[in-house]
Amino acid sequence: MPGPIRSKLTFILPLLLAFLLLSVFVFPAGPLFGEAAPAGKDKTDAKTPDAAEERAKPKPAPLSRHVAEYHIGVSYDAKKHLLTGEQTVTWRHPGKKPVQELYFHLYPNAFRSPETTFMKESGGQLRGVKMKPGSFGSMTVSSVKSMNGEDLSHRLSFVQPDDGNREDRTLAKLRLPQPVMPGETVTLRMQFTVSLPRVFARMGVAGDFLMAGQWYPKVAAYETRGTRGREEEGWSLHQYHGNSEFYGNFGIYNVTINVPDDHLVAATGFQAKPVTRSGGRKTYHFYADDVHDFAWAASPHFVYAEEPHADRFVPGVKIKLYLDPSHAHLKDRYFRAAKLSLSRYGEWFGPYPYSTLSIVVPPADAEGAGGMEYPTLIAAWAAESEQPGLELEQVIAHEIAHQYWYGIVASNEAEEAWLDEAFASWSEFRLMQTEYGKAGHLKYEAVSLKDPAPLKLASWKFTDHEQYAANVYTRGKLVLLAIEREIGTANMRKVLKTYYERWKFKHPGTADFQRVLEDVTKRSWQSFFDQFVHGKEMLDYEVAEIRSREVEKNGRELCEYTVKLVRHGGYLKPVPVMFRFADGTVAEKVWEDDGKEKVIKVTTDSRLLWVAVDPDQNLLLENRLVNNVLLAEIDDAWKVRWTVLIGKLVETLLGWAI
Amino acid sequence: MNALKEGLRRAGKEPFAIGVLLVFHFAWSVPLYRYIEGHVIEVMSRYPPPELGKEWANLFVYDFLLMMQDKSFALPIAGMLLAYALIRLVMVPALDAGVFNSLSDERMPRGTAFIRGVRRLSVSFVWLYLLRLALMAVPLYWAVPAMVRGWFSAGDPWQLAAGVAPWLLLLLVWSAMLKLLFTYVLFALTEDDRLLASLAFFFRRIVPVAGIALAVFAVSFVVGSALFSASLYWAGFPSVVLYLLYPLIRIWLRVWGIAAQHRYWQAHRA
Repeated sequence: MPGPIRSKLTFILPLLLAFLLLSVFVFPAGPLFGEAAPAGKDKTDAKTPDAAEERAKPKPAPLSRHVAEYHIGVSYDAKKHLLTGEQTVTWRHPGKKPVQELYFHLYPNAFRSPETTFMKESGGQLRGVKMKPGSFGSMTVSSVKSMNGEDLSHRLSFVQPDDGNREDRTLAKLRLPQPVMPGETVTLRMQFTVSLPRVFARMGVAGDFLMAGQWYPKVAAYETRGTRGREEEGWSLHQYHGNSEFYGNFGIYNVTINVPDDHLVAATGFQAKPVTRSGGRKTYHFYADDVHDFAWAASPHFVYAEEPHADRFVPGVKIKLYLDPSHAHLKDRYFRAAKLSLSRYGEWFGPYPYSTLSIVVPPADAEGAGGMEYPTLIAAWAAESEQPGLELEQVIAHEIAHQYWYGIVASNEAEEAWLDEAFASWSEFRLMQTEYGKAGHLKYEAVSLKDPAPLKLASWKFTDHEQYAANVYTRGKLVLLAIEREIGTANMRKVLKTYYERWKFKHPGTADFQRVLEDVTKRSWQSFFDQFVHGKEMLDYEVAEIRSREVEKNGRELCEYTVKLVRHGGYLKPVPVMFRFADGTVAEKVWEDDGKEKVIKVTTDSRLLWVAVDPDQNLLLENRLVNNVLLAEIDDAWKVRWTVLIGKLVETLLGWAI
Repeated sequence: MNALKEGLRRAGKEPFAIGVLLVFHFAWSVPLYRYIEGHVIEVMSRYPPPELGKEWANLFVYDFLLMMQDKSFALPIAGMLLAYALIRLVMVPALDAGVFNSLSDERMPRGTAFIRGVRRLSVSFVWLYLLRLALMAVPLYWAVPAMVRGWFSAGDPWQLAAGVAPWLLLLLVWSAMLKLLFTYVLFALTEDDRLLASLAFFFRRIVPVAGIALAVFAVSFVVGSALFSASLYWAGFPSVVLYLLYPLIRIWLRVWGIAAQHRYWQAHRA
């Protein structure tokens, strides 16, 4: 090599080497090295619903016992309102005895004819929303195969353990060729189609909007011995009833959803991969674990918004809002309500354990889909009014409360509906009171409860939907508030926190909640639960009679009043009784015992005007107030006026009509 | 005017009929008054006193309204009112038969004419009375849905009045016209006259017939309102006396109304 060239190389090579070292270790690597984007992240703006999502924190271990694992691929035909799905479900036997069969809920079959149990019990309507004539729905399981390809379809049959209604096909039994031993798994491959009804009862379509709840063949819940007081392990088997909601074991859902390209999809869990597009359609991939159900919604009209939320009580959650366009201007209200609910419930019960919470706002004509809870996804009220009142915030508070009471503390909604509805109602009431200053009308609610029924009653055993709703929502909430009034708010929060901690990701029953209450308060609540939870008691105190006679005492002429009090309803605690006299004085007595009648004598030199039981209206469970007060004397002039007025009205009416 | 004067004179000659109507009125209304009084006392003695606060009163009214929807509470009251209505349904036309016959037949002693009328005509009068009630109810088929719609769609009291008042007025006018029409049918029935002729008379002479009725109504309204207001104002024993005096005056006014129409019919029928 010539001398001048060697000297140049000697100078240049170290420079090149230095440059190389610097560009690798100091300057950012660029396209030169062709480094790929981090796995799972879309190169487009991450704040779109098409982007994949990551968990807020990696979970070291499952939070629940995974009994069922679903891998589902579903395609939505928006023109025919059809879902075509394929699922591989692995069921791990949680019990100790071999099982020879699996059971599946085929909920959409509730809408297949007017003769199904749901339709007969509900009269074809839910919460005032009627089924459109002819708009039926169904689920067909076209194939069931074992993992080795054996066709098991012929082993599937419908069962009706609740009412024997052969027209009802919401529960199916699959006889397995071999039993599943404790701890072992069975995996099945199933193909199914769902013909979607026009939504009136939670699931279905309305125009372009789809709410897919209870849309896949769902393995029934298997309860181990001791769960909710069970003496023997076994399946929890119920058809879909007019009043009942749902129940399932925890597990994993890995779901791909294929929809037309212009549709946005909201779903349980988080988006595991970016959306892929092909042939005018797009596919979402969602993943959720430690949940017992999976729901999704789709619409080409959703207005999407998301906001993160984290504070002292919320580790970190992405709130995803899928708004109907007519409520786009209300997104701040939805976000605020969601954040307040997550923070307060996090403070009162425990941190929200999932990384996402999706809120779907259905369009006005999909009111049947509104006001419903699914794990990590809730449906608010349908967007019927452009300026809704506080019911907007109330439904958000209620359905997010269900994430705790139903979603995480996974009670049996069919058999013990009050354990989720009353608890969610209590939570909603407290949230609205604390954050929105909404006082509520508790005494009016109590007085309205003229048809009380036991709280711990299977949903379909209530006489009708009105009795079901009045009891599991309102009466249950009042029972919890009555407990709170007895033990104080601080202790009530301790009870609920303990209940949540002890029973999260498990399946408690009423007795389990009672045990927590007794452990925390260190007293027995058996009498309370016997009367107001297992029984249908309310409180009803009456001032039945006031009698007077003149007596002489120490040379003075006094009046002795004998007041008879009667207890018609249950017993909670001693009740105050107020006596008011003509000289303006007031005497307060207490009816201490739990007897059915009480006689109180008062001797006074002043006329007794009236007697009132529970004058401060502290008895939240009293549902009859017309008999709490008795006047010892009434104004004669007004007596005549009212009698003449009413008498004249009746005479005139009868005289004119007849 | 002649008919009104003649009717007034004629009504003064019917003490027996007026007396029987008055006795029936008391036999029917006094127990009704006592029944209502019992319920009024019950409610008044339970109504929360002001010292307990407004919320107590609100809750009481709310609970009371709920209680009224309870069958075990509402059915006995409805049953009692129905019984009263049924008694009126039979007795009013039966006694009217006596009144009409007494007004038609001036030759007999008043008591005999009255009782003969009841015996001879009461069954026909009851059937015609039922027919009149059925015809009165016909417009309800349209009126009730329209009034309910007006009630629920009204945004303010004026809209409510506009939606409901015209229908109420229509029903009042309709029932008043039917009552007048059937009065002339009953005249023909009482005197074995031609029914169609009487009906034709009514339609030909509708204006003076309505005029007579309106005049009697106006006097009745003024007198009735004054007595009723006084009974409310002077609550107590005076009120009870006024309340009992009013039926006598009302019955006498009613007999005058029938007598005035009868005189007009007799004077101008062919």
